[in-house]
Amino acid sequence: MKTLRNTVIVLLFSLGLNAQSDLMLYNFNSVAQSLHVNPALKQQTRVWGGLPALSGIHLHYHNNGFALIDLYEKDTDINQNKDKIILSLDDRSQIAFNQSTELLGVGFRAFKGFVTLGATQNIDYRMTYPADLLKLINFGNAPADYRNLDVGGFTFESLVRTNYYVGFQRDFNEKLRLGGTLKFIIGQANTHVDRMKARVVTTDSSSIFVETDVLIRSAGISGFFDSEDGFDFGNAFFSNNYGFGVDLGASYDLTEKWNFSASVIDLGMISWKSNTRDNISKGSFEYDGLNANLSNDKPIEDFEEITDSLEAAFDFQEIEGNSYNKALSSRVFLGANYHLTDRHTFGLLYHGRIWENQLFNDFSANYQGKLLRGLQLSLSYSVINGTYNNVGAGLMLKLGPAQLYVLSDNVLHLMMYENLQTTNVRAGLNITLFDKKDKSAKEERKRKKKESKKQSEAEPETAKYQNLNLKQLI
Amino acid sequence: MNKAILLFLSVFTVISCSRDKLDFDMTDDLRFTPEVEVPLINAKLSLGDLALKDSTFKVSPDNRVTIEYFKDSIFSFNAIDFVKIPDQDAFEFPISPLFNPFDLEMSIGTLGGVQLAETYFDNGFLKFGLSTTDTILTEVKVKVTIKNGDISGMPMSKTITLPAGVMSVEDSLDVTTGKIDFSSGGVNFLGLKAEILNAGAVTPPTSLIKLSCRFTKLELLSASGNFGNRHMNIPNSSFDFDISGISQFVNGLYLTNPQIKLISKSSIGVDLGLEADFDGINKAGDLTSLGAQPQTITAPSSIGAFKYDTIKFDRNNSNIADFIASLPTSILYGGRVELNPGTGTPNNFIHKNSKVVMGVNVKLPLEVQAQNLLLEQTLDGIEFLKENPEEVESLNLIFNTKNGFPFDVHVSIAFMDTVTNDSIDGISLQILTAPPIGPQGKVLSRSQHKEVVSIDKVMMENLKRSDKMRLRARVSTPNSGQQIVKFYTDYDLEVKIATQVKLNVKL
Repeated sequence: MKTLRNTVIVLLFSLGLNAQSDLMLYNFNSVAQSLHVNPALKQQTRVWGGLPALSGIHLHYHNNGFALIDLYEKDTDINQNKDKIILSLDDRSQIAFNQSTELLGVGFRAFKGFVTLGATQNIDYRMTYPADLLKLINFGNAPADYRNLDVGGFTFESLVRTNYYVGFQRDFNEKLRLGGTLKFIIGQANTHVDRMKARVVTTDSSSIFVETDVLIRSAGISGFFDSEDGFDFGNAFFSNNYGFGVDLGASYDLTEKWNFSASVIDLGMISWKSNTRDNISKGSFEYDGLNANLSNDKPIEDFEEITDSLEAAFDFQEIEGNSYNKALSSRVFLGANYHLTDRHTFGLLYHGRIWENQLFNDFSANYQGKLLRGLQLSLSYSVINGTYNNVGAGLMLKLGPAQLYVLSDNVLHLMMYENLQTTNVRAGLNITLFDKKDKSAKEERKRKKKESKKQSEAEPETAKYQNLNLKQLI
Repeated sequence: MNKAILLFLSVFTVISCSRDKLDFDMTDDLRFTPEVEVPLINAKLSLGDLALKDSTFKVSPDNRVTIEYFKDSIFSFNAIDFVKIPDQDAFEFPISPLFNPFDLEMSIGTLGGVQLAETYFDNGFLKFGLSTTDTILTEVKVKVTIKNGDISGMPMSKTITLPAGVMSVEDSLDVTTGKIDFSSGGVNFLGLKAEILNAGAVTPPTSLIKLSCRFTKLELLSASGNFGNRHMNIPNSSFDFDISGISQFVNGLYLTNPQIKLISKSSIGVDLGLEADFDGINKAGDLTSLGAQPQTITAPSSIGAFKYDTIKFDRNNSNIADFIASLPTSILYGGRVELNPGTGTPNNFIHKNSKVVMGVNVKLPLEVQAQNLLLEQTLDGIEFLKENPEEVESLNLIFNTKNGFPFDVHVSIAFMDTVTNDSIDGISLQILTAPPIGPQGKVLSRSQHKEVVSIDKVMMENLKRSDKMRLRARVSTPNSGQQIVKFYTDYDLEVKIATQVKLNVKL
């Protein structure tokens, strides 16, 4: 029974899923943290330094299963709402929470490029809703639709890690810029479903047949449960669970107006060796009531015999010491920006996230405005994993060397929280030095503008109209 | 500053707007209403298992089940009582020295007109007496010899001395281990020879002496002869008949072909007509007569041998079907035996250990018939839906049965009012359906039956007022109890009881 108990605890401990989107951050290259999503993004800063633990705090919440309004809408029946929510869940319904903190970060120009160094602490919880299990619990096993359910169709992962990174980007020619970040990762804790198959069948003769094939692997956290000397945080944070990750990015200026970019984030894995534990169950059990052999003097078996049979049938095992490798949940960004002017840019962005062999897609249309050199603003509309009401905003304010920034992929529903399904907030304080103002370029633009004005004044009116008509025709 | 206030008010307004759309107090109304189907009991009964557990079940090679019970001695009666030689009156013979010796003849008395032949004694005495009315001056020695007897090959004789001047004297001959052939010379004939050994010296020689002799305390070791035609009572007694197979299985079923065999082991050299009464008494004290017809126990061919006879009681010569159906736990017996019930002159013999031992062999082939056999039981102290009954919206009981036993079983359950003891509600269901039966009375295949009993809100309310229920089961063999069915070890029964509950639980 202890194995069973620990399995349940591990399950509860691991509720959550990482569905971070970072759509707003991607084009927010006034802050160096944008390198976390594409190490090739051109940086506006010449030098930056992050204040320890303050330069970047990121919180992300995602729940495409339901919004508060779905459950608590005034003057509705909450029980009907609950039923509707559960019925609407499917294997792509997720709940997630992510938190990351920039422990330390510096960036500077060197080696004809831009070098970054730093460390981040990430906590990710991710989980798909166990939709069929919830249906079974809510509606019971008696209705015809729920007599044969595959309740193993869900997965989850929790991951606590510290990334020590070094990044570099460089222009290879006037148009192409490449960048990369190498991460050395120390994993503090991980729990994930490696295999989850479970079926509950209620037969016509009212027997309940349950079949499981489950492997839940965890590392780093088993000390929470079993250590007689107390949990050793030192060993947990500097454990033997090492890994490496790579971020790769590219940016290409097709024309003066058009820019395309792409990145792949978190290619790599962590090798989990410390405090590992596998919780296994594989077997089947058919329960058709307390067995009563009427031939016996004591016909009805003890309930204890049933629990013993259950444990034997499902073969609950708890195995410690099995190391395993777990790939990071990789992400990909594809972006296209159109620079309407130097100050105003419109962009389209795709974000894909691969988790447990499934691809989760986000799309975003955004506006990036450099209102002032020290005041930059971004706005976006995004479709994030099937949720549509996501209006994002970002603001960077630079006061001397101090750079304050705050951004979110869904700022609207932070206030109108009844429909909130996805949001994130990233904020921080950097010490930055931007590039010197490029006065020659500014003067060149002014000169071209003057020439253009003179030329238009010199042209006859008819020609102007002809040109206009021609343009219109074209 | 104004813009900041405006922004704050706008945000506050928007957040307030969200709050107006939501009602978190609805959490109090959140309920959990699954419809759950849970198996409760999976009961199995295999006749094969039952047969293995109870030694009274016997299985034939074709797996037919019979209840058999054998006991080699349920009661017995000794035969020596048939032939008793009571203490005899004294025979008196006058003897005189002048006419010495004397041959004397006499017949011994028996009970019931028994005509003895060769008879061995296990104990007993032949008592003699000499007496005279004269005064005899010399002693008189008289030797008495039983002419048709001997003791271990030696003459059966005794010398008695009447001392001089004594008027009478007594003496006795111990006849233990002696033998007398009472048939040599007549019926129950005893021939004596009395000789005055000193007849020439007896003074006066004309003295008249009276010789008396009589048997006393005779106990027979063995005897032969014609023991006559007469009746003797069998003392009333009882024997145990608590056969577990019957009490556990037959209970109320009507066995169509029961047999009881009484097996007699007789070492009595007498044919016996047994006129016994057997009455079964069950646990309730009800008495049912077997209605046995008179039967004959025949004699063995020689003394020391045994003769076995089987007395069979079946439905043709007894009331055995009702007798068994009454589930007797003990049997009272009594009656009488008739000696030599046949014609002709019998050649009877007995030994002191001769007896008739009655054993019993009960053979009850499980061929049964039942028509609305009523089984009833009341269960007290039952608490129905006492805990959180409001959380149950509806309740169904589902009975899934696979029946290999040849019975239809209909159950009615009445829920009794706690106070008035009246039936306030009830359910009725056909819990078992008899499977198809072949021409030999054997089940061909198991029948499957599903029965759903719905307990609605009204009944649930009634159940709260009840703490006992009365179960009535009516059992019938197929064709409304007309069909006779036989039992085989491969018969089994599976009853699965499940419940389907619509819950309404506050979270």
